Amino acid sequence: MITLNIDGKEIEIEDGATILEATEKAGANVPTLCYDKRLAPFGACRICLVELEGTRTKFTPSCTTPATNGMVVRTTSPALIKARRTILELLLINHPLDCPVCDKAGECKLQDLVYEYGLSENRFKKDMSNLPIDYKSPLIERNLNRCILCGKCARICDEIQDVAEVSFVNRGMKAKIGTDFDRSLDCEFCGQCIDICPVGALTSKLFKFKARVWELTDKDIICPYCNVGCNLTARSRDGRILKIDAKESGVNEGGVCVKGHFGFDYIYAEDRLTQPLIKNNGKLIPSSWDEAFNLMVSKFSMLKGQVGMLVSPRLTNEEIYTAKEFMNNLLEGHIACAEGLEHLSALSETGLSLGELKEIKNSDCIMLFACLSETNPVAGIAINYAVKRKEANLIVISPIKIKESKLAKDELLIAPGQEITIINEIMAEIIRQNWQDSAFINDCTEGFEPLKEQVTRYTEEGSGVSKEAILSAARLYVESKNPCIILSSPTPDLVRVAGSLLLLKGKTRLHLLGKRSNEVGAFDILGDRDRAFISSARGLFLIGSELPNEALQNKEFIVVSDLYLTETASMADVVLPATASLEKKGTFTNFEGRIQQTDTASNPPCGAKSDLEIISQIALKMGFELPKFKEIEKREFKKGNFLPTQAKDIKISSDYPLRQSRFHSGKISQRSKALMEVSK
Amino acid sequence: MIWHIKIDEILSSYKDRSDLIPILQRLQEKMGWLSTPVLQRIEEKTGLSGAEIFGVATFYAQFRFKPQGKNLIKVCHGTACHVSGVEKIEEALRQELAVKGDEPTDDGLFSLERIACLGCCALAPVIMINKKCYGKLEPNKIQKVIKDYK
Ligand code: SF4
Ligand code: SF4
Ligand code: SF4
Ligand code: FES
Repeated sequence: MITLNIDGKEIEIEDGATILEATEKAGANVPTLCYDKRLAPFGACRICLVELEGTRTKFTPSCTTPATNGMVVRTTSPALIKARRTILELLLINHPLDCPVCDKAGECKLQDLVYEYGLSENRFKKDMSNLPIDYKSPLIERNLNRCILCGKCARICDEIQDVAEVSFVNRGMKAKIGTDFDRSLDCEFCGQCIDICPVGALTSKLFKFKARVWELTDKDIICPYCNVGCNLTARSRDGRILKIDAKESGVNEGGVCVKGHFGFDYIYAEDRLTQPLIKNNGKLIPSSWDEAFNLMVSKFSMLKGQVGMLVSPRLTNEEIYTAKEFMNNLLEGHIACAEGLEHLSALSETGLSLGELKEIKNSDCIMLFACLSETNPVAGIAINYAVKRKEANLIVISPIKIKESKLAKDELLIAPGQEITIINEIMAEIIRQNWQDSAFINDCTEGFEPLKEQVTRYTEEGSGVSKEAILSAARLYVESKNPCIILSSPTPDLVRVAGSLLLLKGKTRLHLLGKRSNEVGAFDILGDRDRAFISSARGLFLIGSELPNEALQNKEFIVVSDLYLTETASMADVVLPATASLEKKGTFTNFEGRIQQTDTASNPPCGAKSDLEIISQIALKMGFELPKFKEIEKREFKKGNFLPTQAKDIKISSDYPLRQSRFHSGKISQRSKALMEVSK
Repeated sequence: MIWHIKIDEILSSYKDRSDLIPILQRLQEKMGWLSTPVLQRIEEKTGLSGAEIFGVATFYAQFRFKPQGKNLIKVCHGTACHVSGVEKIEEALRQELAVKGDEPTDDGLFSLERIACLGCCALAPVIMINKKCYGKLEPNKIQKVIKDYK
């Protein structure tokens, strides 16, 4: 710790901190333009100047200068104000003052500073910059005339997103932010460059001329897409979301991907359901909620004990819990999650708990089995951070080259579907070399001997990877301190072997990412239940879930609650218009097991109800008040189980990565015009 | 593709970022200028992004991003040449060859580049065609100088 004096206040701060960090701690307000705590210090704008007493140079940029013991710093003085005013004047020489038509106005750092420092005239005169505006790139409009060359967009794109789509080009007066040969953007469209740009040079096309920022209502929401569970701010006017920004707090720490940032318009798709429908003579006819409820009450009472329910893993915990209580207490039928959660029950079998995002950031060896830039991009950011900033070793194991390959220390290109084999081969190598953590294995695990017996039988190269490569990866892995293994929507067997590999090293958490926002919540409440009841049930209640047409034949009564008239819904007897996650309050459990609150950010279409309302209202009609959702305790590691698993016949599923795409798309993303514009 | 083989040879010496500039120089020497396909190949082979490579290359005046004529005419605009009327020489050259800006001539024989100083001020006004210098020029001598290259 060192002590320094800031504006007369003694401040203690860790070694290596910058003056700016110390001034923040002292509560002083030093302006910045090119600084962002997520990025490496850059020192381009000089607006953060402070005065150092007893030095000859006197002024120093606070964001790049390390604090030292005994420093006496002044953050404001007439001379400093004069210097900052001059910097602003220089920035304004060719900056168009088109604030009335700039979408950033109201939260533009330059505008705020010019106002704060009271500049109304400029001593310097030159022509306004006159670069062509990029209207052609999808989703992002670039008006570089407004750019102040802080470099934040280029740096976040490189340091955080690892794309480096834009960079400084040319030099001197001609310097600008650009792409090679001024082509349009063709990147991951995470839009983080928009969020970080202090001025209106980069703006969202979805928000163009939609509103002035001070007219917006901000709501804290959880991203409705994957289960990283990014914390976002939905900004709406008149109950309609116009833009979404990433929040700097929360798991994602300001990170966001194209889906969370731009994919919100699926809720405004033209084919949203707006009123209940009842089947009459084979046709679905609009009806009132009362009619629909009454029909459901009478049919459900008749079919008691023989109705099965499926719920979507995108519902809130409250909804899933209520649905479960409803089925247990009222309909006495089976309920399960619509999509398999076998990978989560496999994790329970291993005894491991869920890994967290910050562990990836602090890991020194990451073994990656999925292209996260496609499925869970913000988790990918954590890998970039670990590799680029903390020099972690990345081992990529995949049948194809993926985006992360270029950061990899070791890249093991396996034959398609051989993930399990290669882990077995790596374990065989570790055990052969006697590198496993025997003390941990003796004290905290079961089943090591059978595992050893099974894997050491692996001799030939079934995974298609050479022995040397396997040995090298095994060595990197065992020699690290905090390794982590990252899987995304894996098969249960892959979870079992990855679990064993972690246990060999005495590790108790697996990083298990998923594509749907509340898979973990659904699993915590429902477990992974068998869905065999579907075929014998006489009635079905499907919430946000779809089934193949064969499964819907010969049912006496089918209710579907969904956002759209899906194929399944069109086969139903009653269709209920539900609300989307952006339209309701509730909690989601992210991949780490963190329960997070989301808020109503958009008005639902008039006539739609949330599934929570739907179920509680039917329950009330049936004379029962459902209990409220109680939080479920997080599972902690107690004992690990080695689960010897062999690769079975390899079936390659349709979303198996034999091709890399920009993002993984599903039912909701396909209804987002913004996402479809950039899908490859 | 044949040019891939040529440039891959040059690219094979790439180890880290500090090798980028010498590689760009050698590529330009070989190809005459840096085109989109060349940049893409560098991207593939080095893992750097197109924007990064372009950013580095555009920082230096020596790199060209447009095709160049068979013969490169460098017109010196240093102080000495300036005062001895190089503007008139350039005008005459442009008229004679019908070149606009930094585009090559229609027949692909010439392109013209303005240079800060060629370093032979005693010969001002001076131009350089490929590796040969022509000094003490006058607008009416231009035609003769050019003839050798046609
Ligand atoms: S949208 Fe993302 S990937 Fe594209 S330029 Fe901006 S920061 Fe880079
Ligand atoms: S576009 Fe914005 S973020 Fe990028 S350098 Fe310019 S001002 Fe900074
Ligand atoms: S990473 Fe996942 S949670 Fe985060 S913004 Fe993207 S889709 Fe949403
Ligand atoms: S904020 Fe410190 S130099 Fe820009």
